[in-house]
Amino acid sequence: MAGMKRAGRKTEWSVTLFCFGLLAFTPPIMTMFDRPVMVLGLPLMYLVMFGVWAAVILAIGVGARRSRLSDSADEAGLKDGEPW
Amino acid sequence: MTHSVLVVEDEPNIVLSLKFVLKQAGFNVRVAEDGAQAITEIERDTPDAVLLDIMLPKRDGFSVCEAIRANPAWSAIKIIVLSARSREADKEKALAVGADDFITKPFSTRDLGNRVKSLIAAGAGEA
Amino acid sequence: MVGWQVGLVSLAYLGLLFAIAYYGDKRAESGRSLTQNPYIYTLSIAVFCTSWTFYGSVGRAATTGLDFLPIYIGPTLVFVVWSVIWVKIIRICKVNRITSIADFISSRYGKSAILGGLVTVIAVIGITPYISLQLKSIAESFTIIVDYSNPRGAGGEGIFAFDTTLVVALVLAMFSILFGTRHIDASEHHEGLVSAIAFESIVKLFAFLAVGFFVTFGLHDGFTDLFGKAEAAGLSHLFTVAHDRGYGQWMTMTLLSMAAIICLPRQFYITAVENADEQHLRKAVWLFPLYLLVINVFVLPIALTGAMAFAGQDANADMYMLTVPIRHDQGALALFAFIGGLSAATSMVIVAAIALSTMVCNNLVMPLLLRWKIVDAGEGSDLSMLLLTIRRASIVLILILGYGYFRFASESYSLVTIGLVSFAAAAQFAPAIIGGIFWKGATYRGALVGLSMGFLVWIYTLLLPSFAQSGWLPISFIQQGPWGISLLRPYALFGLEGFDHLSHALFWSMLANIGCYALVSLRFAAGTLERIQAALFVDVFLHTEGMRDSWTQDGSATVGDLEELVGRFVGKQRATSAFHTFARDQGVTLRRNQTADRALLNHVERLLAGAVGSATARVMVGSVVKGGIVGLDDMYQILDETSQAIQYSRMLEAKSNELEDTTKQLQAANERLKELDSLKDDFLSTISHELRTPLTSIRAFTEILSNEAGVTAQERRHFMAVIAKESERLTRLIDQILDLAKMEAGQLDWSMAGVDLRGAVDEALGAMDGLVKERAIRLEVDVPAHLPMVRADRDRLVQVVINLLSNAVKFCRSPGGLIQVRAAPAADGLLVSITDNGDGIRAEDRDRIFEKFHQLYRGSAAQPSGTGLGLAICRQIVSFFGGEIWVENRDGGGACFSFTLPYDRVQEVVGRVGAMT
Repeated sequence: MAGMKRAGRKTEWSVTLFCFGLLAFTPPIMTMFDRPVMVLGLPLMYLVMFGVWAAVILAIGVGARRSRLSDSADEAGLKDGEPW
Repeated sequence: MTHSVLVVEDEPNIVLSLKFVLKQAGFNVRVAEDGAQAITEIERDTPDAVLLDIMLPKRDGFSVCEAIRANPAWSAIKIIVLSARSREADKEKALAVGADDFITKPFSTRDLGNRVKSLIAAGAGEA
Repeated sequence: MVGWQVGLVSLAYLGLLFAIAYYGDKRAESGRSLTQNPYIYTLSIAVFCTSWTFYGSVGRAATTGLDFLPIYIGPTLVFVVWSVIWVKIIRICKVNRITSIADFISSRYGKSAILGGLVTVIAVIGITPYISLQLKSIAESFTIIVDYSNPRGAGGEGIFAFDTTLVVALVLAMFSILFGTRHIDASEHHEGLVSAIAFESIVKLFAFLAVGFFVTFGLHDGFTDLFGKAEAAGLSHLFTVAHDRGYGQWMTMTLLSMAAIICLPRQFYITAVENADEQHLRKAVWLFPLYLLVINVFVLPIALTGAMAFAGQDANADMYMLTVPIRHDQGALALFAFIGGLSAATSMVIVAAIALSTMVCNNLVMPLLLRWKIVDAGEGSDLSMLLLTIRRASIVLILILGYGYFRFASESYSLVTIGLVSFAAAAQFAPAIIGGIFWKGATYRGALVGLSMGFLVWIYTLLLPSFAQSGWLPISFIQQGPWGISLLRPYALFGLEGFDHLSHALFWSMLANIGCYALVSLRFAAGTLERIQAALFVDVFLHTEGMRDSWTQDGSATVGDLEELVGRFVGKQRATSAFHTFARDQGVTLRRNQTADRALLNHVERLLAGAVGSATARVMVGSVVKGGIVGLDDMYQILDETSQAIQYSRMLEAKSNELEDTTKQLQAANERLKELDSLKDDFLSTISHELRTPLTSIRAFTEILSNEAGVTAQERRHFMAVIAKESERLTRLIDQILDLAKMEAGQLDWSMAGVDLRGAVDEALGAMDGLVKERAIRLEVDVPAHLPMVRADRDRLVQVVINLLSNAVKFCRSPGGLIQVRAAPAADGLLVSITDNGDGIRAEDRDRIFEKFHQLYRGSAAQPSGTGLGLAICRQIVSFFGGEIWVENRDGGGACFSFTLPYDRVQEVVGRVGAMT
C-alpha cells in the first residue's frame, strides 16, 4: 500500500502539472504576453511560450524519474481504474 | 452440662468481646485464630457450636464450614457464620455450604447469645 | 541539380532506410534488438512531426505568427498525464494483443466487428487528406529544388509536373509493403520499421536544425539580430499568436492536437502497439516533448527570414525551408533540407499506411470475408498469403486514395489546413478511447452512435466543403447551404457563425459524438461480453495477470486443428514454433490429436489476434471449437452473474465482518463493564468489611458495658480502652479511604514545593518516637543534612515516611527490633529507604502489598492492625511526586521499602547558580 501512496502523489503531480500547462497555454493567461513587444532582443511571446514549454518538459522529467515511483505504474492504473 | 463453643475469629478485640459474652451466657469458650487452627481445635475436642468468621487467614470460613460438614462425626456441630460482609450472596453461600445461621457484624450481643443458645437447644432436642 | 539527380538521391535515401529496417529485423531475429531502448522509442514517436511540421509550420509562422505552436503544445500536455493515459493504453494493448486503434475500440466494446469496421473507414477517409498532404509536400519540394537548381525548368512542365506525386505515392507504397508486410506477425514487433522511423526522425531534426542555424547564425548575427531586423521590416505582427484575432482557433488546435497524439492511427500504433517495454515511457514522456520543442525553436526565425527575403514576391511560404537556402546559393543545404522533408513525409506515410492497412485487413476485409463465407477458417488452405495480399493491396489503395485527394482537392489548401482536417477526423476516436478506459458504463451502442454521428458531422462540415472548394460540388453548397437552406450551411451550421471553419466543425462534431456516446451508453444497457471487456479495459491493472474471457467450453478442437488454423494465418513454421514455446512455458507435451484445453485455446486466440485482430480471432477459434461458440453468450451470462454474485457475497461478507467486529467490541466493553462492576462491588464490600470490623468491637463492648452486670472494674477499663482504640482505628480508616479516593479522583489539593527531606524525616521520626521507644526498637538514621531539595507536598511526604515507619515498627523483630532510615542522592532524584529486620515479604506478595486492603498475615502471632491502605496511599503519593516505590528483601531477612523523589528543579538551578558565585 505504500506504493499506492507514491502512485497517488505521482498522479496528483501529473494532473496538477496538466492543469498548470492548460492554464498557461490558454487565454486569458497567455494573452497577457501576446503583444508584439521585444524583451532582451527577442519577441516576448516567443520567450514566454518556449520558456513555459521547457519548464513543463522539465517538470515531466522530474515526475517520471524512476527513483520516485519505482514500479508504481501499475498502481497508478489501479487508482485510476475506478469508474467515473 | 456446659456446652462448648469454638470462636474462630482473627480480630483480637472481637474475640475478646465474644469470649466475654459467651462466657456470661454460660458456655465453655475456646478460640481459634485462623481456619487451620479451627480444624485442629475441633479435632481435639468436638464443640457443640462454632462461631465462624469468613475472612480468615490461611483458610476461609466457607472452606472450614465445608470441612466440618464433610465429616459425619461432626454433623451435630452447629455452625453460625459471622461476616462483616452483608451481601446476600455471602449469606446464601454460607447456608449452602452447611451453616446453620448467619450473623452480620456488627451484631447485638444479646441476640448473638440467644441465637447460639437456641441453636444448641434445638440440636439437643433432635438428639 | 537536375531532376534525375534529385530523384537518385531520394531513392538512395529510401534505400538506406530499407537497409536500416532490414538490419533492425535481422538484429531482432538474432535477439539483439535495436528497439529495446527508450531513445529509439522516443524517436519513433517523433513520427508525429511530418512534412506539416517541416514545411507547414514555417509557412504558417510566416503568415500568422506563433499560432503553429498548439500542434506541439497539445501533445506535450497529453504526455504530462502519461501515467494516467499512456501506461493504461499500453498495458491494455499488451494484455489484449491489440494491433491497431480499430482493434482497440472494437475490442473494448465487446469485440464488435462492426465498430472495428467503422473505425477503419473513418480512419482511412480521415487520414487520406493527411497522406495527400505528405505527397503534396514531396511533390512541391521536388519541383522547387529541381526548378530552382535548373533555370531552364527542365522538370517544370514535363512528366514531373503531373507525375512526381504519383511516382512518389507508388514508391512509398512499395516501401511500405517492404517494411510492414514482409510477413505476418503473430507476436513480435516490427523492429526494422521502428528503427527506420527513428532514423528518419534524426534526419529530419538535423536537417531542420541545419537550416535553422544557417538562417540564424549564417545569414544573421544570432537571434537578436534576426528578430531586430524582422521588427524593422515590419514583421512584428508575426511575433504574436493572435494579436488582433481571437483565440478560438488556438484553443481548437490545442484540443485537436491533444486528441491527435492519441487517436491518429499511426501515433497509436507506434506509441502503444510497437511499445517494447512500458519502462521506455519513463524517458519518452519528456524526451518526445523536448524533441518537439527543439525542432520548433527555429520555425519562427526561418519564417521571418523567408518573409524578409521574399517580401513583395509571390513565394509559397510553405517552402521557405528550401527556397531560403537556394536563394543564398546553398545548394547542398537545400538538398539536405529536401531530404529532411522527405524523411518527415515518408515516415508518416509508411507508418500510416501500415497502421491503416492492418486495420483494413483485420477489421474490415477479413470480417467481411468470413461473414460472407468467402474465406472459411475451417478449410485447410494457407491464409497467411491471403492476409499479406490484403494488406499489400490496402497499402496501395490507401496511397492511391491519398494521391486522388491530392489531385482533386488539395490544391486549394495549405499543408496545415489539410492536416487539421485529418486531426479533426482522428479526434472523433477520442471519446470512445478515453471513455473506454475510464468509464465502465460506456457501451457498444454508445460508441457506435457517437462515432457515426461525429464522423457524419465531420464529413458535412469539413470534407464536403473541401470538395466544394475544389469544384466537385457547387460552391453554393457552402455559400447558401444545400438546396438553399441557410441553416444547413456547412461552415455555419444552425446559424453558428463567428468561428473559424475548424473550430466550428470540431464543436458540432464533438457535440454530436460525445453527446450520443454518453446518452446512448446511459440509455441502453451493455451486453455481457461488453461488460466483461469494459472491466478488462478499465481495470486492466487488476486483470493483467488475472481472469481473461476464456474458453470455458473445451469443445472438441484438437491441438492439430488449432496449429493448422494458426499456421494458415502466420505461416506453418511460425505456428509450430509458437506451439513449442507454449508447451515449454506451460511445461506440457502437446500431441496433435489431443483435445485442446482452455489455456491453449486462449493462447491460440491471442496468437491469431496478433495477426487478424481480436474480433476475427474469436470468431475463427470459435469456428474450430465445434460447439464452443454456441452458447457463448450464455456462458458470459453465467460468468457475469457469477461475478455479480461474488461481488454481492463480498459485500455481505464485509458487512458480516463489520457486524462481527462490532459484536466483539460490544462483548469486550461488556466484559470490561462487568469487571469494573465486580471491582466496585469488591471494593465496596472490602470497605464495608474494614469498617464493620472496628464497629463490631465497639458495639459489642458498648453493649457489654451498658449491661453493667458481671463486668469487673478492671474489665471495664480494658473494654473502654478497646472502644477508644477501635474508634481511633475507625477514624483513621475513614480518613485514609477518603484520602485515597480523592487522590485517585485527582481531587486532593497538593501544595507542591521544594522540600528538605531531612526535615520531613525528622518530623516523621518525632511522630513515631513514642512507639519506637515503647518497643525498644533500635533506630539507625542516615540522612545527610544538605541533600538537594525534592519537589513534594511536605505533609504528604511526612505521611509516607510515617506509614512506612509504622509498617516497619509493626513487622520488625521483637524484641531486638532494628529500623534503618537512609537517604542518598541518585541520578534523577533522592533515594529513600526504610528497612526493618522482620521476616521480609515473599516475592509473590511484593507487588500486591501496594494494593488497597491487601494485608499480610505474617504468621499467626503478628496480627496486622493496620487499615490495609497505608501502602496504597504511599504509592499514590510517591507516584504523584513523580517517583517510584517498591520493596525488596534484605539479605539477612527483613523488608526494605524504597522510594525515589525527583529533585526540585528550581532549587537545583538556584543551587548551581549559588555555587558559581
